[in-house]
Amino acid sequence: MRALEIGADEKLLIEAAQRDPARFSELYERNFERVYAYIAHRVGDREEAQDLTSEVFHEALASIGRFEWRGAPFIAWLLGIAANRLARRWQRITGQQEVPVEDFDFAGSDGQIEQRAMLFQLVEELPPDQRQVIISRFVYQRSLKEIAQELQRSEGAIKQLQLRALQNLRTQMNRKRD
Amino acid sequence: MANLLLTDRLDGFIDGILAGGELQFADSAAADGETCELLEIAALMRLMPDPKFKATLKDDLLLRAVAIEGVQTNGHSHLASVAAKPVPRPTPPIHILPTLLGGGAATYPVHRSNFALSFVGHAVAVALLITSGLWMAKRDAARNHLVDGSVVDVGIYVPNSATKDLHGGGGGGDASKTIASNGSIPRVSREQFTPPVVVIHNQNPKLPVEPTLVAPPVIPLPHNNQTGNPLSAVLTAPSNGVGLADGIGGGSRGGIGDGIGSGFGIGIGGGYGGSIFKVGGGVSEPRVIYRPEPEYSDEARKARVQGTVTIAAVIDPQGRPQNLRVVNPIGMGLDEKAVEAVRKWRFQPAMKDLRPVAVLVNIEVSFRLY
Repeated sequence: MRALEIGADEKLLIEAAQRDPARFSELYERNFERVYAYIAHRVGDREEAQDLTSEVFHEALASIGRFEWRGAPFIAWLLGIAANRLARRWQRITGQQEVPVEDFDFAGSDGQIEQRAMLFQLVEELPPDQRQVIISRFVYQRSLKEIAQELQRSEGAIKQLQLRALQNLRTQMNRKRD
Repeated sequence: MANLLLTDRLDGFIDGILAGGELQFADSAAADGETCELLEIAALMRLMPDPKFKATLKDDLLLRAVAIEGVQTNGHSHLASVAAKPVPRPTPPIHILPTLLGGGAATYPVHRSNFALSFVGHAVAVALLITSGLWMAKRDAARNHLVDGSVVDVGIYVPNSATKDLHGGGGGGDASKTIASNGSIPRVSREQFTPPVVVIHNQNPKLPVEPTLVAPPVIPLPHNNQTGNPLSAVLTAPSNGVGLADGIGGGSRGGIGDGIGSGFGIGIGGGYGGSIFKVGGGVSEPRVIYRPEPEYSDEARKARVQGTVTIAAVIDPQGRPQNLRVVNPIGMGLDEKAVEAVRKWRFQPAMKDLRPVAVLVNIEVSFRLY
């Protein structure tokens, strides 16, 4: 029942975006983390994953008018675009025309991708100080000392914030899984 | 103390993850159960997206969407090509007064007051439409009975040369002892070569010519084989009459009747005298003084028929229309309605030499739906 409601809701969002492309941002917010996680898992590099994610959403926006709702989740369509982009990247890097299909499985088939996507969303729900430490540490790859200087706090306090942030994320992850 | 140890160990493993990837910490035997769970999360966090990237990409997409919307509004279909190109950012025209060009309107919040004002405006417009429609319907019903009736002489063409004779007449005779006998007038013509006679004195003329009267051919009179004066009561003894200088009757100069000239009736100089005149040449136009309006027939109103009925009538010296005849019908019962109404009309009669005379006129009755 819940899935049906989500599907109907998503269908309405898609139709709204087809009428008014500005409404595409709602679909973007819903699906960004999963698309990014899927690509990041494949390419293993943040910068490249971000570039490919950008291309996927721009292509999706350009093609939203041609999208036909057939009951499949919108994310499947987005990941199809992502798979094509990854295939082109593979061909560009290796010079091969054939792409190993098993390398481009879709969402739902890989639990790690789902976990990544969930984590990326949960980071946004962390308290601001914990969130700032996590972002500085994992995105900008700063040391605890650098973060402490930036936030004008002790290094020990930053260590504690980092620990509590990860514990929070673990708790929220377990709650979502249950 | 244990917590301190955990944070230190955890940070060390995170350094390893960030430096070398996910596999380096997994082999460490130093990690306990909780640390392993946290490190697993940390490993997944390694490729976490930059929050600024997410916000920037959203802005890009929004700008692109606005551009697409603008292209759609302008009636083009280059949606895919527009969206596929990289966005030059920032886009100045969108940031400066975006709604001025209609861009980004959809991103603004919706105000209920605008809907209320729009509703009121539309309600007023609809009310005005309904009111004006009802007013027009009433006006239409009222004007159905407004019929323009006018007396217009659009009848038979009369040459200018004959206008002075229209009021004339004619007469003749051969000084017989008896008055002219009854009969019909001969054919009318613009010129007369032989005057009409009842008693023919020259049975073998050198050049036989048909006798005629000089008059415009406007009034059909009863005709029989015997030529004579139609107004005479003498039916038996043929006679040219007591008049002079050829013709029939008590007048002179080759006509029929008691006038002078080659025409018919009382008067001088040809034409029809003493009977029906036409407007012009000293004969004034009759003027309507009482004009009940004709009704629109039901079938004509339903069929939305409009038009003008022309009726030929003789307005007698008393101002009453006589001999009504429809010469330009439009049907749908309107001809009958027009005749019925005109029959009730009263006129100030046409005048000639300060006395009322009968005139032949055409009356136009216009039926209009407004």
